[in-house]
Amino acid sequence: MKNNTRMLYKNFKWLAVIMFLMSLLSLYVYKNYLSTKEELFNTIKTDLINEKLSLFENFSKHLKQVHNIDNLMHLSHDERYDLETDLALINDKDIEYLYILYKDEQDQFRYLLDTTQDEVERAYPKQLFNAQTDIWQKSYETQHYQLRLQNNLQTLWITVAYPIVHNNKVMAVLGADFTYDVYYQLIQHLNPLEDLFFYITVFMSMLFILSYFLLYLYYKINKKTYLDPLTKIYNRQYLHEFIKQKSLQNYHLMLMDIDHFKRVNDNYGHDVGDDVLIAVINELKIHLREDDLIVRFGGEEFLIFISTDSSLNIEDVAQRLRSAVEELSIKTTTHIVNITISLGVNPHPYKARDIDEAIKICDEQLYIAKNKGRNRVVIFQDTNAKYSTTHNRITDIQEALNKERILCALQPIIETSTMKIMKYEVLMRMEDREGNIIYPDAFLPFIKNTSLYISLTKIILDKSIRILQKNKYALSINLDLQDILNKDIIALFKELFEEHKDLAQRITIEILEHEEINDFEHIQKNLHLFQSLGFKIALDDFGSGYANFSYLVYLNLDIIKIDGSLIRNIDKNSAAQKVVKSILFYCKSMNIVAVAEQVETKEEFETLLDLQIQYLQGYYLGRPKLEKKA
Amino acid sequence: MKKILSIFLLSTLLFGADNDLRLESRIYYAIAKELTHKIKPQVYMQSNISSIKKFSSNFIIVDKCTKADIIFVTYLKEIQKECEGKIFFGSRHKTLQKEQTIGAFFWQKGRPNILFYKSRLEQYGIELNQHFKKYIDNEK
Repeated sequence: MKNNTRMLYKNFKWLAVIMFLMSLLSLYVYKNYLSTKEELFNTIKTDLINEKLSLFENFSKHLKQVHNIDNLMHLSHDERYDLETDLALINDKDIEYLYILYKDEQDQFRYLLDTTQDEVERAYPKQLFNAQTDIWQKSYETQHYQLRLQNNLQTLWITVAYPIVHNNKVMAVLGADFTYDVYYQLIQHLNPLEDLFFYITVFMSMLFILSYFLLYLYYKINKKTYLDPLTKIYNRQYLHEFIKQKSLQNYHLMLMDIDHFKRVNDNYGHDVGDDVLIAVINELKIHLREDDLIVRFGGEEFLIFISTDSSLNIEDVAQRLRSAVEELSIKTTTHIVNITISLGVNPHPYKARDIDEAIKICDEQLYIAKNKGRNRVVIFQDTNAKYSTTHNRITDIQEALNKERILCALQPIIETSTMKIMKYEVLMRMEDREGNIIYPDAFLPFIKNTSLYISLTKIILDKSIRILQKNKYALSINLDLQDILNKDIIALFKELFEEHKDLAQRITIEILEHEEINDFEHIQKNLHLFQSLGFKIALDDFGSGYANFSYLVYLNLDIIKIDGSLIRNIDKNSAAQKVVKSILFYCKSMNIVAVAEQVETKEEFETLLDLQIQYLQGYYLGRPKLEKKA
Repeated sequence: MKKILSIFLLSTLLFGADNDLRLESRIYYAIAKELTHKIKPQVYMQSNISSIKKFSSNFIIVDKCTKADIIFVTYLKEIQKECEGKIFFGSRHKTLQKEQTIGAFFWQKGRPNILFYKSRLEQYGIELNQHFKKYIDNEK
């Protein structure tokens, strides 16, 4: 659909260009035709007049021969008749009126001869002539013939004033009014051609206007398609257009997420949530320049392209945006909401293979920012490229897999009643070529939805099976929420554990999730499938982000792991103690086992013991230990 | 398209024709004003002059020549005796054959012509201003 639209747009563009050129061409041809026509008329006019001038000259000679030229004003009736008959001989269809004027003693022009037959049009001898143009006077003065185009007279085309000169003195002026007939005859022959050129030009111009109108409509509709109706900024669809037009070299890239936005929606309702989104965007716009671009990338995620500038420090810009939102007090119709944002920054997005990889790098940094407690900026450092981004990242993972550099680290989980290790959480690690240990956050996102991801899962499961076979304790394995819905993962679990139900019963699947669950029914169905294979199901990071009480209602869970954000400093935080206490109370009533994770101090440990929690995990009780390589 | 163009051309021609009549009426008015010295001269027409009829706002057209300040004649036929002594002005050159006609405005060879006979102007004691001088035939 998008490709079709693009094709249509390209076609419109070409159509508009072609139509423009065609219109120009037809206009040029039409204009040339008109000037050629004009030239033709001029040539005909000149030829016609030249031909008549020679006749006038002959008549002038004849007049001098047959009559006393000095006595023209005193012609007898017969003499006038004879001369008019002679003059009429040089008249033809091209000349409407042919007459001779003379100037009397008072410098008034009067008719001497007139060949006109029509009684109304014929002038009386010596009738005063209203000289409305100066050609008569000029022909007298210059002794040369004069021309006048008779634009104001409907029936006449050109009037010629031809002086009859004798002894270097103008004795009279021969007047000839040329008709439009020649002109009309020519026009009648040329009109169809002129019409054709005219209509072609009009047609082309209309097509040109139409194609530009279509182009304008396309832009108008497209703009609507590309705009997010709520925030009035560009949406994700615009990204491809933007990348096509602009180079990433001219931009720094940021991915921004509104912290705990879900809570705003849950606590105040979606209308307030919308108001918050609009307010945050408006605030960001104030701090962004005209060349910068902000795009709504997801629900509360926004991509910001910051135009590069030598004087610009991208970290300062990101921090400025972050603190601007932090200081913002958003007044919605019903509440005043304070909110923070986290930003993952990729200062050099052009170094990535494509925009998707550039965004992924931002996403990694954003993920780190969130894990570090949100309301912060994390800048991608090129020096750490080998940990988080390289063009060959997938190749590196594949190589690590082939060379058995995918490892397990086991972190103990202590049962508080006996203070014995009852279980280990299996944590995935990757060893790079230099022997550095890479954490899964730095490589797993890049192979999501690939067969490599399934292969890594299989390695961890194979290793877990071997550990279980060698030891008596139980294991916890982490799975992403999406893995629970992944048919390949389910098939893998079935393949490995259908015949090892005894081992499956010693495994707890810890569900991690980074997005809100909408389809509880589907997830519950798949969780039940895992439980039927013998696995226990634990919900990780309970109390943070998306993992909340509604999950306990809709999902049939065996264990919940209370998030580290509630455990950290619990000894000093009475509110956290109360929350944990209520979670434990709920778990007890629902027969769910509770585990507290990220226990890092003695004080936290003792407080949790006082709260009578069943299981504990954290650095205070034991750090993850890397398996020994074979 | 052709229809639209045709309508445009037709209306231009119609308005063009109207313009000619308006111009002719103005010329008649200038002459009548000059000869009668009245801002709104009372005019009697021997037969209808279409330009005056159509654009008559400057004239008071009267139905009897006796009421008129100026009489526009088209033919050589006699005018009532009661109107003798009034100013006669022709709309054809031929009307100048009538002794009472002091001048005429007419179209000849596609051009508008104005003609006054000097002797007749003098007979009526009319002196034209400078603009009209070139139209006076001094020999008549």
